Amino acid sequence: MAVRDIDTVCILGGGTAGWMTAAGLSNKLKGLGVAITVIESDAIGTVGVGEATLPHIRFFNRSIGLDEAEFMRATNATFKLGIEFRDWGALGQRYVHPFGNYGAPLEGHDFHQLWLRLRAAGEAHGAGRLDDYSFPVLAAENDKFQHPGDDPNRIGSNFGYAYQMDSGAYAALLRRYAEANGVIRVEGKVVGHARDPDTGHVRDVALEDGRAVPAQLFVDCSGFRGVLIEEALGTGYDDWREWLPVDRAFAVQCEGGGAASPYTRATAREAGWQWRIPLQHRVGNGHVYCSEYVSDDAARERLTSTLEGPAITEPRQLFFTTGKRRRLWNANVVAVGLSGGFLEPLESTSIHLIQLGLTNLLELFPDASVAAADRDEYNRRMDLEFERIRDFLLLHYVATRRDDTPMWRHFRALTLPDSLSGKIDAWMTRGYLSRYEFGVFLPPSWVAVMLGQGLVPRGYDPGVDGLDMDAVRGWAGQVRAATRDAVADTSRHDAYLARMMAA
Amino acid sequence: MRPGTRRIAVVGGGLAAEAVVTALAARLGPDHAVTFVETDRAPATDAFYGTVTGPSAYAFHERIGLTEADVLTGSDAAFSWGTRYEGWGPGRSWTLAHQQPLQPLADVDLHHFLTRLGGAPLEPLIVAARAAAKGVFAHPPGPKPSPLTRAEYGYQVSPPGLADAYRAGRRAERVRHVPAEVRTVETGPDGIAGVALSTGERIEADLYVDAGGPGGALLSALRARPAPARRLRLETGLRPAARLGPPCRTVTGAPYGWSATTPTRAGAIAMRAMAPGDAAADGDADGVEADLGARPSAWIGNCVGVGHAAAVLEPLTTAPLTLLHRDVLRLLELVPVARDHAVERREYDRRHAEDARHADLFQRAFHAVPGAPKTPYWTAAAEAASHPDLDRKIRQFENRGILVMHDFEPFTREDWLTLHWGLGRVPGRHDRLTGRVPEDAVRAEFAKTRRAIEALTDAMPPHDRYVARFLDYLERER
Repeated sequence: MAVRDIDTVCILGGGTAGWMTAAGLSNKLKGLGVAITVIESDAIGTVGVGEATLPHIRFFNRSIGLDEAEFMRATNATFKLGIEFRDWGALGQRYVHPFGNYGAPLEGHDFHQLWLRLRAAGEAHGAGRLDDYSFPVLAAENDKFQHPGDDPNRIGSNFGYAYQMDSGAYAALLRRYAEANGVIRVEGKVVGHARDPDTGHVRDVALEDGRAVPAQLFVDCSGFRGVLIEEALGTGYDDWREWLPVDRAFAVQCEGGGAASPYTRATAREAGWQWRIPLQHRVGNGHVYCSEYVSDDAARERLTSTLEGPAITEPRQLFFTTGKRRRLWNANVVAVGLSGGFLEPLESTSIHLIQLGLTNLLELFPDASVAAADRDEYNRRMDLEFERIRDFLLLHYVATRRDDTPMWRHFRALTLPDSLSGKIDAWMTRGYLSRYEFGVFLPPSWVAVMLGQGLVPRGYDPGVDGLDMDAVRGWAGQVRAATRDAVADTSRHDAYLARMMAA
Repeated sequence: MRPGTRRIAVVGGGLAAEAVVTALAARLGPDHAVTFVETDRAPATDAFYGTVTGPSAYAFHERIGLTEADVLTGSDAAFSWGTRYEGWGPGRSWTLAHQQPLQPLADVDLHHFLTRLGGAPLEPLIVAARAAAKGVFAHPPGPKPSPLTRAEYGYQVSPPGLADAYRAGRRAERVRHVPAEVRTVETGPDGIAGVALSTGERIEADLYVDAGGPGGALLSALRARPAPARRLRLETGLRPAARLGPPCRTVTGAPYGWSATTPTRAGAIAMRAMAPGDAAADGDADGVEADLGARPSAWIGNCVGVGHAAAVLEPLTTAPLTLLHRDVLRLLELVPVARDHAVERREYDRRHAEDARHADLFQRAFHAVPGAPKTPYWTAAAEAASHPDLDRKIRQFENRGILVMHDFEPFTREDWLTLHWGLGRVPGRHDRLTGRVPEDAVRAEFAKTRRAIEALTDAMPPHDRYVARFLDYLERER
């Protein structure tokens, strides 16, 4: 059978997912004769999830040639070194999950193992906090930021960073980029669709005004509803509320109380948790909660009563079901963004999952027949990413001593997926991290959350005993001093940002 | 001594035992007592480790306290760019050469452009493959970017030679060495309760390491090995050579199986692999046989198997030595902290099973070739070749050149690409994004890379000369 190239792609829905997809596809498919249409209705609001991001977004921005300062100005963005978690492991406890490693290895031993040995040897050895060996943690705690230097081996250069931004403004920026690249925006609301009786592929979508928009490949960015992936194709949904039971949220913006901090905050609540994302001009707040354990009114009240400044928007309520579409790519429809699944925004993965979907779609970009093999591989890769993120999110709820409310007691009684319980076991026994190659959260992230939430291993790798104790102590002291000095030499985040925005 | 797993007994002999004892001696502190019950100095079945390592050997040796100089001077090792497969696949000869990730062109994987050009040859774009063909060698330079920095190398070495290097490079004072035979293996609720030796001594340990080869007396006492899918016979000999041959092993497909020649500093190792009892193979009496396959659990109770005690692979690629090295590293990472080994056992087993499966898949792919002779070796190998994961990998590649990869596979994307390409699999479609680069520009880019690689390899010295000079240099440094 002759291979026929796809020459029409239709993206359903604007918003972050839609315009990221449009920008990414139009960039990579430029000059290849692919017409890209985005159907967007001004009447349908966007959720604009994920005002906080992961460092990977920098690669996306770079790939479409977006200048960092321009991007940050347009989205009122601030820098992000990690997330501060409060009250998760226990009430009153806090830690930062940084983008970067702890310390530096010695003779092939992970630094956290050296630290565990020092700690086991007793107070006199002065292990201190593991945080004291992390540049991004110390910088965040001191509201400092500057770009990493050129030498990746130097402390102060070997960390990652992301942004806190106005995702609505980001979508608008990407829209300008995509339209300049030839993407056609169609204003309208999708009310129906037609399918090819032989292949089952979606042939076109019908708009409210009677127009039909045909395409060979559809990317469903229509949000939770999943206009094509679910309403048209009935793909089905893997409901993960058993693990991640939060199902509603209120979001509100308020004025900032002072200088914007270079990190996001997630504070555990009685029946969920609350985010705080500082931008240049305002602070985004939200209370994600489990409707089984708290009323909507109480959840709203909890949010509005804890704002640091006057609210500048009305609290907006969101409803969702955690989980993922059974097949993220079904027939000739690829679900990107919330239509593909929703994992709560605790670790800022929403935009990252959009980006992964886009990257994999480009690598597996089909021809007009939309081969099953392409779909299968896409779904295999994305399923793995979703599951691994799910385990990591669940870790936050189960690595805790909290039992003060019904929700926390629910988690205390939960039977964990084997993949997660085995991981926690190995960590507790000896500080060992069961690794994977494909998945966004690498070992340092697991170390951050487990240690930060009070899971202190009972033992450590016996191999570390093969090192001379003085050498371990000396190395740790050196790393700690270098980290401290590097942070001392770093600019304040607000000043650095102001200089950059003014330039 | 503090309580926990402090006494470790390694029981066995040959390459696996030498590797694991050296590793434990190098990496554990004085709290651990390592006893090496050496049951056999050079087991014949060590031939199943093959004669080539991959590039990961260098880091492995460093990890167990051996420099490259230790390995070269302590053994008959030479350098290796990879393996040349002659007559493998219908009318095909190709080189599986070591190579770091290939540089994409316009963010698109290189091989999609080769597909677009109708299946253009891959080897002229691989430094190690061209250097192997010319019989030349030089160490890849440091991190400064040049085509040569993408090249990687392993070693060509006999298993007893490598075992000697491991033994010589060991912190011997850290090990109690007990040459003896095992008389009885006593089992108990925790696994092994003790091992009675021919010397009359009885060994007790917190952790027993079975490095006793395919027969592995300790693990076998705890659980029988499952019925094998295949059995293989190897015949090995050494042909003295006036000078060291090329830094590349040659494997030649034959109706009875395959033959291989591996140049080392002691001479060329000749090997033949065949089905046992295949009269047509005209084998000699000095062969050795083993069942291929992995134990479902490499760690049972308080006893862990490394090397052949846990899995035997056909020495068709670097897989057997890579797997042995991974066994040792995995054990180093998981020396138990307490008397209860549940956590370590589960993780070791999980990783061992994955490594063994992935190494095995790669080798199965060698037998998933059309038109193989209907001989005992090829029939048995073809029967064993089918596996859903392999089928998916092949299907995805044949469809559009997608390389399906899993966590930490021992063979890289480049290895899989070379294998597919070598066997003549060209994807049915090329990546649409290759259209971003005009065909003339692609051809020009490839021509430039080929010229640079030819110039670079033309300037390299012959392997034998390079090795001689390098050894002189090491001697002077000493």
